Amino acid sequence: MSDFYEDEPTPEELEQLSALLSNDAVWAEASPEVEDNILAAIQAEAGSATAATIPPERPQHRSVSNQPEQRVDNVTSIVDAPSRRSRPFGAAVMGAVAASILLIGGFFATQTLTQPSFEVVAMAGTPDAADASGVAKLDRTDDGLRILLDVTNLPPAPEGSYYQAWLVRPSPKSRISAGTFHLRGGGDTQIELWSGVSPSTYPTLSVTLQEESDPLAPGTVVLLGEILGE
Amino acid sequence: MTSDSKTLPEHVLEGFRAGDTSSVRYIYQLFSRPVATVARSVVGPDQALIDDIVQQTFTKAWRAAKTFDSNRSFAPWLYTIARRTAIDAVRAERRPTKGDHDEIIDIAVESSTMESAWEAYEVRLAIQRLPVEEQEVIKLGHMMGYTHGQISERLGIPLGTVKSRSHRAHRKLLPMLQHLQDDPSQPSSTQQQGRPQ
Repeated sequence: MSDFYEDEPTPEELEQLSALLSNDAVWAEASPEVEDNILAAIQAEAGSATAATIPPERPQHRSVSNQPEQRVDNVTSIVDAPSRRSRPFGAAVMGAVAASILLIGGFFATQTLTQPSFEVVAMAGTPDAADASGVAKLDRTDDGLRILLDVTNLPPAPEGSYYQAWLVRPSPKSRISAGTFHLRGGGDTQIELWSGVSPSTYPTLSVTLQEESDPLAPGTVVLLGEILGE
Repeated sequence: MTSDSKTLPEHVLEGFRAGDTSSVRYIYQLFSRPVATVARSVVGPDQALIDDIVQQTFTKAWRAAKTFDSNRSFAPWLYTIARRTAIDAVRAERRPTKGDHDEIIDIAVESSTMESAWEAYEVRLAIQRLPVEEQEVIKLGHMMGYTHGQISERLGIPLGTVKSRSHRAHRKLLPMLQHLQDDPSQPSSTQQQGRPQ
């Protein structure tokens, strides 16, 4: 099947297509908070399933193309998760305590022994820019967080629009701009951005496509990455 | 800018199984709108119920992902979960709260609703394969009912640009959705492809 309709569409074909596109259900959206709720539910459930086992090693560098770790966030499960406990309660408690000690110990050991001078964050293209990807190098300086963003396959922002980088806080939800760019110079390139907020509080790095005519609009998210090096 | 809805990259699926943040967000961004479309098709315009179905669908999919065969298409599998979740939600909504009325709990959801849900799901996936600027024109034209002139004014772009984007988008959508437009009396070889049962 061709990606493009080779003949000029007939009025009947366009009418049928229009009928399909005008179905209200086609344009349904979930509310914005649903994404975070799902993530919290999954991570809470994943965390409860792994807390009593060996804690995962906390990586310094992270990429969606690597085997991901189980991230255990301090969140409350909002799904009716089936019980996965298969050991006596006392053993589970002991296991959880041991796991916590290992987690805390491992965390401090990681912080003191292997803290890198900068951190690498893999950025994945969203469905609105599925071919795009990026790598951000985060460097904590005395003047703030310096972000060197290498993007691949992200097209130049159309005239009248621009890209904006953000550091995003999940709760209470907030985002702080790290700068804007348009990529009209052509080719894959590196962009230097700066932020005055800490990635430990704002752990998501995103890039949106913004319209100059409506700079306060949420924009379309085209790249996303999680900062886990704190 | 495309969004392949067939098979997911293995590392994304692995990440999703593990509850990895980027992978979960990636899959959510890719499929939340089509899943919301299924929910809306089955339960109607109740936004709270749609949100609930979308959330349940993704958490159920995550729980079941460990047994999902990565060589299969992800979209029809997720659609099936969404559809069942939506049907369960309809039944729960209609379930009497008092008395013993077991005989009417298993309310049938009309097959036409299921057909419509699948069609809308396919349409939404196809729209997502368009470049962002073409999606925007299609959305304003068909969801909001704007004329080309109104879209031009709204987006601050020339009328000719709106027309060319709209034309390109429709010409791309036609082959993607041709299987939904075929004459029902002429069985299509593509109509059942990847279609969940």
